[in-house]
Order: sequence, then C-alpha cells, then structure tokens
Amino acid sequence: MTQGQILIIDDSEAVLSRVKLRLEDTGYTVITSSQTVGAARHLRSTDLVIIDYHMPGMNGQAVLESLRSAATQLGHPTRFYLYTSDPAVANQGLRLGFDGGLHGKGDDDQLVSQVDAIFRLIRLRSLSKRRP
Amino acid sequence: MHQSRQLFFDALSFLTMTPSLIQPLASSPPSRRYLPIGLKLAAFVIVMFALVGAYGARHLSEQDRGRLYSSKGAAAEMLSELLVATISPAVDFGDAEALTSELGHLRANRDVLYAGVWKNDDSSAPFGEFGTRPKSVLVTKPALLDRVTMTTEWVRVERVVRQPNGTPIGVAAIFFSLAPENARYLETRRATLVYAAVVATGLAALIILLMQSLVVGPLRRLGRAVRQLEQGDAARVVVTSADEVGQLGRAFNTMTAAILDRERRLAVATAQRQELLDHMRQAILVFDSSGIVEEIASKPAELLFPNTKPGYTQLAELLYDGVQETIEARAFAEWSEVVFESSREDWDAIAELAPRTVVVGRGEASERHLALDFIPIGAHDRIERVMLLATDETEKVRLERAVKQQGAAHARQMRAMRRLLAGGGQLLVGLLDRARERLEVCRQILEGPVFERIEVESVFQQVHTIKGEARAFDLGDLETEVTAFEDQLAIVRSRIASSGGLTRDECDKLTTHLTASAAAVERAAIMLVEASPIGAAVLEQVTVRRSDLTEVLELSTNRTDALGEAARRLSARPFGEMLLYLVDTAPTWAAKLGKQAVVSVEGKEVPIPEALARALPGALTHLVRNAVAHGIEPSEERRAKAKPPHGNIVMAAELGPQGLTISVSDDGQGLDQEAIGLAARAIGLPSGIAPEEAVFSSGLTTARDTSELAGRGVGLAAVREELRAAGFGISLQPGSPTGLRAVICSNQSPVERVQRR
Repeated sequence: MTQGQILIIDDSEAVLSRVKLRLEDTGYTVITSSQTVGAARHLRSTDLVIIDYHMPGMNGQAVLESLRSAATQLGHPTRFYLYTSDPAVANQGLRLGFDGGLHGKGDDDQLVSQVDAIFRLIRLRSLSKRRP
Repeated sequence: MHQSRQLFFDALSFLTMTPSLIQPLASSPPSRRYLPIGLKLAAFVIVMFALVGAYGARHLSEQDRGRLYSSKGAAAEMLSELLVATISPAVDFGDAEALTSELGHLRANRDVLYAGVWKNDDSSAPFGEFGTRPKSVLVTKPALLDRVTMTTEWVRVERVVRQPNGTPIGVAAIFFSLAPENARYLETRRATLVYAAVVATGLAALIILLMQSLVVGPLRRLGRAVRQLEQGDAARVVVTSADEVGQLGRAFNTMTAAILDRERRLAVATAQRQELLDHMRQAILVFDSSGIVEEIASKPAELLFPNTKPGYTQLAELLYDGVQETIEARAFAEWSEVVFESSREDWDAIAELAPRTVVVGRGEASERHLALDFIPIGAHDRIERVMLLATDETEKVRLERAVKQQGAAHARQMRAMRRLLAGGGQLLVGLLDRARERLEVCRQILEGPVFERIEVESVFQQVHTIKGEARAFDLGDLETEVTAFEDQLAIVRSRIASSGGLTRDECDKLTTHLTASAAAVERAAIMLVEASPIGAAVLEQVTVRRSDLTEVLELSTNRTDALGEAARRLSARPFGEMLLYLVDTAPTWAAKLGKQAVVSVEGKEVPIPEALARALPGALTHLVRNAVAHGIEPSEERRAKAKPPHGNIVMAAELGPQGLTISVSDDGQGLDQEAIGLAARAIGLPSGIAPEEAVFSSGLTTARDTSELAGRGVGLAAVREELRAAGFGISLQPGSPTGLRAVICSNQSPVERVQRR
C-alpha cells in the first residue's frame, strides 16, 4: 500500500529524479514535474505538493496560487510545502501562503523525515476530526 | 512504601476503631491538642471517685445526723415528761417560787436553752421561765397540746401540765440545743470525706497503674514502632498479653512483617527492573501530558540526554534540539496532544502516527540517529504517561553510509578500469606484471645480506616507479600502499645517512610495506578481472593484427588436426567481450519503463566461435530487451510478490560435454500464456501449439505490450533465423523458480560434432 501521493515541482530534473527515487524507496507514490503546465491534473489524488520556490523562469508564488485554487475547486485537501535550502525562506513558508516549509534541501534523509512528519500530521488531524 | 503504610494505617484504625489515637502519627497535622491517654484516664477516674465519694459521704453523714437528732428528741421528751411531773404541784398551787426552784434544776443539763411554763388561764405571759428565750423564734403561749418541734438548731418539746386526776392546768415549752449533735455530725462528715478521698485516690492510682501497664504503655510502644516503620526501619512490638491490646500488637507485627516482605520483594523487583532497563541499551524516558520528562529510567538515557532535569525538561527539546518550528517537532507536539486525550484502545492507531526515528544534533559532530518506540502507561483505560524507548542507531546508520560510500568508490574504480580496458587492457596487465617484478626485486634486496645506502636507493627507485605508474592508471589503492612504503624508505634513508645502522624494527617495517604493496597489486589484478568483460581471459590476451589472424584461419580452414583447432580457438572471442554494452544499458531501458534490472554475466572467458560471435550480440540484445519489457515486473509488483525490487537477468555461457550452451535467464513473470494463446489464434497458428514455441512465429505479438523496446512481432523469429545460419538453435523454457530462460545451443547432434572433430 502506498503511503500517500506526492507531487514535486522543481526546475531541476536531477533534483527531481533523486528525490523521487528516495521517496519512492520509502513507500510514497511520487509524481514529478519540472513545469507547472498540466501539474494540476495530478492534484485529485495528491496529498502533498512540494514546490521549489526559487525556480528560474517560474514564479513559485504563482505556481502555488494556481495549484491551490485548482485543489480548492476539486475539494481535495492537498497540502503545499515550500522546499528550499535557505532556512530563512523555509521559515517564511506560512507567510508566503504555504502550509509550511521544508528545511535542508539537498539532505534526502531530512526530506524523508519531514515528509513522514507531514503525513503523520495529516493522519493525526483526520483522526482527531473523526472523534466527537 | 507510601501505599503500604497507608494501608497499615487504615487497618490500624479499623482494628482500634479510635481514629483519634492514630491521627497524631499520620502525616496529616493533628487536628486537636495532644493529651496523653493516661492523663485523660486519671482525670476521669479522679472525678468519678470524687463524685461517688462526695455523694457517699453526704449520704452517710445525713443518716448519722438524723439518728443523732431523733435520739436527742427522745431524750428531750423523757426529760420534759419528768419536768412536767415535777412542776405539776407547783403550777397547781400557783407556787412561783417552787416552780422557779424546780426549773433551776434544769441548769444541770447544759443542753436546755430555755424552759417556759404557762398556766391554763387568760394570761399570755409565762408563769415561770428558765434560761433565755431563743432569738430565732418568737416564744408565745403554746396551745394545750403535747407536741415536739425540731429545727437544725433546737428541739422544742411542748407538754400539757396536768393534775394527778388528768385535768390540764398549764403548758410547758422546753427548748433543747442541737449544737452538740451538729458538732458531732460535722466531725463525722469530715472523717467520711477524708476516708473516701483516701480510698478514691488509692483506687485511681491503682487503675491508672493498671491502665498504664495494660493499655497506655503498649499503645505508646506501638506508636513508637509505627513511627519507626514510617521512617523505613524494621519495627516490632513485644506482645505480652492476649487481650485486645495484645491482639493489636500481634496484628501490627504480622502487618509489619507483611509490609517488610512486600518491600523486600518490591526492592528486588525494582532492582531487577532497573538492571534490565540499564542493560537494554535503550534510553528510556517517561513523559506526561504536559510533555515534561518525569523520569529518566535507564542509564543510556542519562548518557544520551545528559542535561535532562526530570520534572522540568520538555521531551520535544531533547528530540528536536529545541527547534519548535520544524514540521517534525509540530507533528510530535500534535501527536502528544492526541495521545493524552485518547483511551488505551486507540493506542494502536495512534502509535502508528508516532515518529519512528529522530536525528538529534543533525549536521553536528554529535549527531545521533535514534529509533523511537512509545509505550503507554496508565490505569484502566486512561493514558497518563508515555514511556519512550530510544535506541541509538548512529553506528548502524554510519556503517550503512560507509558501505554505500565504499560501494560508490568501488563503482568509480570499476568505471576507471573499464575505461582503461577500452583503450587496451594489456597496458594494465603489463603494468601489474611489471609491478610484481619490481616488488620481487625489492624483496630480494631486502632479504639480501647487505642493506646500505645503495640498496636503499635501488629499492626506492623501484617503488617510486610503481607509484608513478599506479597514479597514471588511477589505481588509488596501490598508490596509497606504495606511497606509505616510499615514506618509510625515506625515513630509513635519512637514518642510514646519519648513523649508518638499521634496526631490526625498521627492517620489519619495510618488509610489512613490501607485503602490503604486493597485496595491493593482486587486488588490482582481481579488480581488473572483475571489470573485464572477458573475465580472467584479459590476463592472457594479446593484441594481434586482424590480417594475420585471417591468414592463419584461411590456411587452416579444412584442417581437423590440433593446428586447425588452435586456429579456430584463436579466432574465437571471449563471451563477455560482446556483452559489456548490454550490462550497462539494460538497466537504463528498465528505468524508462519504471522498472529496475541488474544484468550479470557468467562464463565471461568462454570462447565463442567466430560465426556465432557475429550473430550473438544481436540475439542477446533482443533477448535481454524482451526480458526487460515483458519479463521483469515493475518494482512494486515485485515487492508484492516478495521478490527483490530489481529484476535479475543472467547471461551465461558454458562449455560442457554437450558443447557450447548460452542462456539468458530472468526472474520475471514468465510468458503470458493467455495473451500468447490469443495472439497465436489471431495469426492462425494451430491451437495446440505450446506458447514457448508460438512466440517464435513470425508476426506474433501481444498487442498490449507494444513498446519502444519490444513487441513488434518480428523479434524472436528473426533471432532464430539468424542463429540457425550460425549453426545454433534457440528454445524457451520456464525459469526456475520464476521467469523465463532462453537457451542457445548447437543445432548439430553430438554425433555430427564428433565427426566434425
């Protein structure tokens, strides 16, 4: 059973393929995209979207906004996280309209640990929602 | 301990039913002032006796007084009778003088206060008097009646004076004093009171002594013992009686023994638990609903989290380095909240959502990788605290990383070797041979009788040359060893220059370096063979000119003797040579299809006849492509089938008694019998045809598999045709235990082969 579906948007194919391999090894289903065109069609089954904020030729903010409105239309609770190697920017994730920021870009172990934590949070919240 | 003591107090108060006795001993502050029971008893006994004594004394003295008064009354009456009889004539004759004389006799009786005689006529004044009238009473002429009146002061006797014939002629009233009786009465009362007080005091003392020895003393000893027990000392009371106090003492002793026994067992159990926890090599912490570490339960926890203050430190601070904004920290915080709001039956679902690992001090030298386990603690259904078992897996993680890195270094060296081989493996083979020779020269010099400056120089030269060559060929391992050898030689060289002598230890060190360098050469040779597509054959290969080879083959075409055989061997090519390309590219084909594949080669050095060698690369490429496209399943499917995520494809060549056999095996899903059956019917093949045979039919394809790699329906038929031209056949067999195996072997019967030889 897959642990959840993740959509990763990054301008670097190298980063995408490495991260995809690592997360798939951990048991996630990973869809990658180096462009925003057509990314929205994966949203229906996606639990988590990870967006590289600093992409040459692409506006991370615009990507976030278009995908978020698409997700809202679908009514699917998708979470959006910012992925960056700059801890200062990561901490601003919430302010920029993301659900949060992932730290330590480049350290795949840390990424897995953070993604695990996000999925645990998602499940925790649905667990407490089910309760009276 | 606290609990057992509470139990004891409960039991004690139940036994005695006097909680006030116990209260001062309990830890709660006493609600009343402490009064010793002995004092209370003494006061009670004294008051009781005083009351009883006073009542008794009063009763006795009252009786006594009554008796005294009545006897006084009787005596007064008798005296009065006598007096009346004596004065009767004087009154009858009206002789006042005689009357006064008679009354004067009353002086002899000191009790008579007053006597008055009245005649029976109209005068109210007395006819004769004696003594003084009492002040307390108005003395008037009494009525003609015989009567007695008594007060606490006096007795008044009134008597009618009569003539001898009984005619009343007057009346007499005599007052007698009760003072002597009253004095006697008071004396008696005082004596009675003193007596009663003495008896009461004696009895009270006796009872108090008895209470002291039977109740108060034992209770006090029990109290002391209880206090001792409270402080954790073993306490026993001496029981001497069989009464209620004795029973209490015995119950106390039994209970003390039970408590001590339980505490002993508890202590043993606690020690065992602690020992167990300390030896578990796990850091064990207990935290509560506020996330605060309550207890450090094992030694490893003290080592792992040295600055933890139980009752103060937040667990999240320990696990997440005090950084609360990270997602991991937030997930943990929310998880903790949910845990303590949940009941135990939800635990399994919640435990799933707990962090399994955590990295403490990420990126620092003290970085620790911890595996986490959580265990709920609490009574009934509630989760009150949670125990965390953290296992330090840092070493394991480091080892895994080191292995990965080593693997990467190995792969790098292999790639370097392959690059070298592509440019001519013989260069490398030659280098290794020369290195061996040079090291052998060094050995001979080292083992020789003289080792002076000249010898050192020649060894140095040899070693230096090896180092240069190793560096040129990117043989890192060999270079490292040889450099160390060279460094040691440099030390020796300077030693010889200064003192001339060479110690035993220095000689031994040189020999050690020599041996290590020789070993590095052998390791390089092994790696060369490993990297070589033709295996060990690389070590024996030489390069010849193609034109020379063609000529030799032409000259020996029809020769069946040893020379002809040798010429054919010369033209044969090692199996591995033609497969290098496949080993590297097949995994990339797989990756394109979302699969993983590893290709390995067995029998790299097996010689392949020239005719087959021309057809084989194409055929093997086709078979491997088929294996990747149709055989190997996607990684997830493989995991579901409990297979390793990557598929294995093995290309093997074997020269057995039956001749040459080449096979391509995979551990994929084998032939899709159903799809092939459908496809076979679609192109009009007979219905009974085996799928293993049907796939060789021209035009057969299982349409759903059409891909870049395979499935265009021209594959296997063409392969079979090409191999047939080289004199070989191909067949398919189910793999063992799964997958498919393609076997290529000679079309000639064994007889034909023998004839040909």
